[in-house]
Amino acid sequence: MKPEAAVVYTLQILEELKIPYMVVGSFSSNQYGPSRSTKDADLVIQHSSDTFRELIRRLEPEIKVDRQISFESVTGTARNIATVVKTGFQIEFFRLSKDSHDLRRFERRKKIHFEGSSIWMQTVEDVVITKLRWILNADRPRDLADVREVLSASRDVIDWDYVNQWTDQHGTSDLLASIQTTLPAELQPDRD
Amino acid sequence: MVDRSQDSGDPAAAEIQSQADDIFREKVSRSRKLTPAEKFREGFELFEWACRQSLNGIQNRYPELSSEEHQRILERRLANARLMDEAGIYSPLQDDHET
Repeated sequence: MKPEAAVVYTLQILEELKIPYMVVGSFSSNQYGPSRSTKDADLVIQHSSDTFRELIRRLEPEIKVDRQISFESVTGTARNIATVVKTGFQIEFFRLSKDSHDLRRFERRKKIHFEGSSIWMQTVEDVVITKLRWILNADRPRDLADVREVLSASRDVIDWDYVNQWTDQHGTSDLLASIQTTLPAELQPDRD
Repeated sequence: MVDRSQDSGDPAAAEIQSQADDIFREKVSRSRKLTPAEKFREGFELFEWACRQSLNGIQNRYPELSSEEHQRILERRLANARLMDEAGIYSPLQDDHET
């Protein structure tokens, strides 16, 4: 199974099992800025043990789910990794955490249309807020590049009141301001 | 990246920055023209393109190996890249192996 088919299939199973989800990570930043290659699709899901077991049953054997849970230290989120066999592509299932921004962005997720079905995606504001938090705590160069590109490509549609509220809470307001100074003048967002 | 509130006064640096800005503008402009579905698909296409390039390199380096072995080397490289990306961020949760 190719990666695209595997992800679409996974999202269909989540819908069938009524497991609420949203696409986060690179596939969500690609929605609001220039695309880049990514070797995994990240999904936040809200599930019970029973429904997750059923999800695993439906995905295997072509999508193999590692039962070992790993813990991410930036926002305190647990995840399971699934591998699309013979491709090297991974689908990562992050549990919806108790983190207040994680909960809020899940409420605000929105649908995009893809080949006759709908896909739940985190919003552009939440991409920016989340990426800033990762830059502050994990210092990954690609997160910085993503924020620059998303701010430039989506500057006309960003709800700045919402972004400012969370960057104040996360201590990332200065970081956001400094990133904006690196953008070409005509691509800098108007935050007023 | 350059803070545009500061001027270095170096013409060579300004020229390089100008070229970088042009590329950046082009990327941003192109992305604005795509539909959400096209953007969603592009992530997969770029992954597959990158894998094809890597496989070509692996085949040239190890012509004596089978295509299955080439694929396994590619998958190992992807796994190693993930380990480097995630160093210090993720750790196994010891007491909860089952969901």
